Amino acid sequence: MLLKEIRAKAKEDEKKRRDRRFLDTMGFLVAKGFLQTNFDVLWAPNKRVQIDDAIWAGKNVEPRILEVLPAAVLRLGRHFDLDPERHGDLARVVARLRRGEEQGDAFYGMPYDKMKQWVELPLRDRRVKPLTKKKVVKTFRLDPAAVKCLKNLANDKQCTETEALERLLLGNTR
Amino acid sequence: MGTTRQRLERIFRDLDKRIAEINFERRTEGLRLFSKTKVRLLGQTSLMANDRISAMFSLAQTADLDAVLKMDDLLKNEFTKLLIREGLVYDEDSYLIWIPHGAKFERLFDFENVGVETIDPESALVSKAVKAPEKNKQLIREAIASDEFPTLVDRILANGGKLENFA
Repeated sequence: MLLKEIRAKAKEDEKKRRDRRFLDTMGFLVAKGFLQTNFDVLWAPNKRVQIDDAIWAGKNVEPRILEVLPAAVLRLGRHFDLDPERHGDLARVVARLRRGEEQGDAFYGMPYDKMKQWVELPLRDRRVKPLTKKKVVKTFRLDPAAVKCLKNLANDKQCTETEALERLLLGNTR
Repeated sequence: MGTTRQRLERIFRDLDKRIAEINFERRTEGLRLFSKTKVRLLGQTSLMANDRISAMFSLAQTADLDAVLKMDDLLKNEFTKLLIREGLVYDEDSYLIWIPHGAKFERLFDFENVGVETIDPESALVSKAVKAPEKNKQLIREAIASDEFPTLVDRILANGGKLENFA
């Protein structure tokens, strides 16, 4: 009896793999490098993915979508229509990831630490930096003498003023 | 990009070359040479690397590469760099993957300095069905319905798995 049910569900799964919601979501996640497949997927790196579609596809077709979705939303936020009111669970996981928290809640059964590792994944588009490598804007009001000193230092080292400052703070390890 | 098997072949061929270079340097320095390293692929990667299985099932994977490595840390470092170049990440928790009793390992590549094996597909499926049924339920359903694995259901049940997870 159970085997009969499993076979029937397998047939349903086959239909679901042709669903637009699944194909759209995969087209984006594969194009960006979050997922890889052994079947042809039409790459859609510029797509705006509906969160509801991605969650449906993760729950009904490919659970690995749910594993990478929070990191994808965090790193490529403009490509998703995340609404914290409607997608509260996801928004909370994304917020924890953004803060770099070590522990957090599971998301549709996906453990937090599994989802967390994809925040640092090098993506196909090398312009998209991992969270810990993203530059942060900081503003300082410096004494003109310090500004002159920084400019001279950058000239001497043939680098930008930001790089000169980073080298001073971090040592010449980079 | 190519198929998973082609990508893996690129990675392990390059690792083989890199080990040859390292050993050449070590020989000139009078250091002990690294012996042949062994890699056993597990999990989703093992299925995607298998041409027969890959033709049968629709598979997706994250960038995780699950494998048991028998190599020096220095070589592991080289290996992880090569993986990153191909958009993959070595899963440091690979040693936690449960290998069911009766699993067999099949040779995938055999280079001078690197030997690569994969767990047989049915055992990979049993492991997934027993230890991570939720994440793999569609795949297990597809495998059961395919009738390609005559002892799959028996092995799932014998190892404490529940068919209810897939119904």
